[in-house]
Amino acid sequence: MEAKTSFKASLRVSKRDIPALLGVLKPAPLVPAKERFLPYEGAKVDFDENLTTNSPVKTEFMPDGGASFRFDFAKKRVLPQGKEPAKIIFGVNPLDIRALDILDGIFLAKFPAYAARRKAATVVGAGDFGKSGASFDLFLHDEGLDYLAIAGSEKGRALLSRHKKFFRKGEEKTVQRGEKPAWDPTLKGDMEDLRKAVKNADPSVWEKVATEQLCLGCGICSYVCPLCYCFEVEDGVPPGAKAGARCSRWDSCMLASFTEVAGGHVFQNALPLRIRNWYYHKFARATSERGTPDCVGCNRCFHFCPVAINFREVLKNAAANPRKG
Amino acid sequence: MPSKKKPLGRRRARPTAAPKKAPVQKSKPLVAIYDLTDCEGCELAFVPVVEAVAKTCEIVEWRLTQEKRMDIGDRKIDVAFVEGSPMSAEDREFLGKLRERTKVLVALGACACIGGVPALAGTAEREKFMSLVYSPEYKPKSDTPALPLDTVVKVDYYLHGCPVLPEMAARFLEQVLVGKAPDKFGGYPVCLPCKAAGNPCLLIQGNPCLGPVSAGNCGAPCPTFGKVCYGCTGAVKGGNFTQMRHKLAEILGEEMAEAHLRIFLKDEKGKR
Ligand code: SF4
Ligand code: SF4
Ligand code: SF4
Ligand code: SF4
Ligand code: SF4
Repeated sequence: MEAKTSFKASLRVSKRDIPALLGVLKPAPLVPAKERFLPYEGAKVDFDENLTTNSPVKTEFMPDGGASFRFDFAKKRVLPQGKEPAKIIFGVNPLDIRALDILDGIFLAKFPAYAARRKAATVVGAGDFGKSGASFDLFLHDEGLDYLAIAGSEKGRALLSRHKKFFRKGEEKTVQRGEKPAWDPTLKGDMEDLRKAVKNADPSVWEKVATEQLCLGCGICSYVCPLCYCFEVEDGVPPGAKAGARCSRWDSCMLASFTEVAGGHVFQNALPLRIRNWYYHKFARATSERGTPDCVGCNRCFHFCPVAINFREVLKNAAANPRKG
Repeated sequence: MPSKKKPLGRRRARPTAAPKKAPVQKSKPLVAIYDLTDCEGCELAFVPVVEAVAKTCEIVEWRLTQEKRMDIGDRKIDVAFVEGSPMSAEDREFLGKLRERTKVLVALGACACIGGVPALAGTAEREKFMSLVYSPEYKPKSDTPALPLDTVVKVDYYLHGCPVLPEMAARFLEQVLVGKAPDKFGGYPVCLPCKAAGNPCLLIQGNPCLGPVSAGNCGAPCPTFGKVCYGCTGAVKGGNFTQMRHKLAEILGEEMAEAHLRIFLKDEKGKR
C-alpha cells in the first residue's frame, strides 16, 4: 500500500473485456459486486453509495467465526500463524477501500490472522478513484467505456504485467484519490462538530430511534458496516478433536449480550443506551481517537435496516437536540 | 436398531420398572432420552450425534432405539434429555419423578424448550376440532395446551432447534458429558449469521421473518435458503418484541402477527 494520494496511470481496460479478464485471473477472483459489471458494454458502472453490495469488505479479512489462532491439545501449544490462501477481491467499492485504511490501522499490527489474510489478498478496487482510500493493489477508475488502471502496490503492478493483453497504453494521466473522507454527512463535513453533537445529544434522540422509529435492536447495521469490527471470542473445538481454534464471531453493540458480564449483569440493557453506543463509538470516540469517524458513508446500515433507520437523519436530530441543562 | 411398534397417537415415556439387565459400568455417565408430545424429529437428529459419543456414555433408556431399559438400581441418571411438551397429569408426574433421579435435565428441541410447533396451535376452538377429528366421545388425556418443559420442572439446559441441528447437538452433548456448561443460546439474533452469509433481507422484501428476535445459534439456514425464520431456536436475549410485533403487523395484520409470535411462548425471562 502506498500512502501517497497522487498517482500516474496510462493503462486502460475496456469494460467489455472485464468478463474475459475475470475468467483468466488466478486464483479465480471473488467479485463482491458482480452485478455492477453487467451489462459490461457501455454500462455506467457507478460505484455510487446507493450501489454498495451487501457484504462489506471486512467479511474477507475478519470473517464471522474466523480463526484468530489455532491450538493443539496434544502438543499443548498455540500453533504459529500459517499462510492464508491467496485471493483476488475484484471490484471493491472505493468507500470500502477507505474503510480498509482504517481497519488496517487498527488491526494490521495487532491481529496476526487479519494481517495474514490481508497479505494473501489482492484488492482490486473499481469506481470513482476520487472517493477511494489507499488500501488497494489495483484500482480501476471509471472513465465511461474504459477503466483507467491505477497500480497501488507491487501486487497490483504484477497483476497488470501478467495480463498485459487486456490493457492498452494510452496517454498518461495523474489522478488523485480522495484525501479526506468523501463522506459528506450532515454537518458540512466537520467531524469535530459531529463529535460534539453526538457526545452532547439529549437522551431523547436515542429513545426516539427505539420507540418511534421502531429499531429492532437486530444489529444488522453493524454486520453490514465495513467499520464495525467488534467481535466475540469463542473456542471452536469439533467433538472429539485434538485441536481447535479460537474464533472471532461478529458482534454488535446493538445486542444486549454485548455488555453482559460474568454473573449476568447487562450494562446496556435498555435499547436506547445501545443505540447511543453505536453512534457514540462511530461518530464521537473514533473521531477523538483517530480524527475521523468509523464511517465511510457507504449507506449500508440504512439500506439493510429492516425498518430503514437513516443514520444521517439520526445525526441531524442529535445535532438539533443537545442535552438540556 | 431394534424396532418396537408404537401405538398411534401421542407417545409417552413411562418411568415404570423394566426387566433387569446386567449392571452398567460405574465410570461412564448415564444418559437417558425421553419424549412427550412432539414429532420425534429431534430424537432422530440425535441418533448420529449420540452414536458419535456413544463410547463415552451409557445410554440407559431411549425408547426410540431400545427394546429394554437398563437397570441402574438407585444410581442417578447423569444427563436426561426430554423431547416434547408436557400436556397431561401423567406427563407432569413423570417429569417430577425424572427430576428427582436426574442430575442434569436437558430440554431437547423447540417443543421442550419453548413449546414449539404444538404450542403454535390456537387454543380457542380446540374442543371443536378435537371432536371433529376424533369423535365427540373422544376424551383427551391432555388437560393443558402444549407448554415448555420448565413450566413443570426445573430445566438445567436447553438445546434449542426444530429439529436440533446435529453439529449444535454434538457440541452440546460433548460439553455436558465432560461437565462443562454448554454454549449459551440467544446472545445474537438470526440476522447475524444471515448477514454474514450475505443474504438479501426477507423482512425488507415484505416477508414475516422473525430473525431479528430469534436466537442465531442455528446459523440462519432458513433465510439462507430463502425461507423466513419462524423462531424455532427461541428468543434472542433482549429481543425487541414490541417493535417486531409492529413490523409484523404492518405485513400481516395484528392477528397473524400475534400468531407468528406465539412460537415464543416465553422469552429468556420466562415471559413475553
Ligand atoms: S439495523 Fe436498523 S433495526 Fe436493526 S439495530 Fe440497526 S437501526 Fe435498529
Ligand atoms: S462498538 Fe458498536 S458501533 Fe462500534 S464497532 Fe463495535 S459494533 Fe460497531
Ligand atoms: S455507519 Fe453506515 S454508512 Fe457508515 S460505514 Fe457503516 S454502514 Fe456505511
Ligand atoms: S432475512 Fe430475516 S434473518 Fe435475515 S437479515 Fe432479514 S430479518 Fe434478519
Ligand atoms: S433460521 Fe429461524 S426457523 Fe430457521 S433454524 Fe434458525 S431459528 Fe429456526
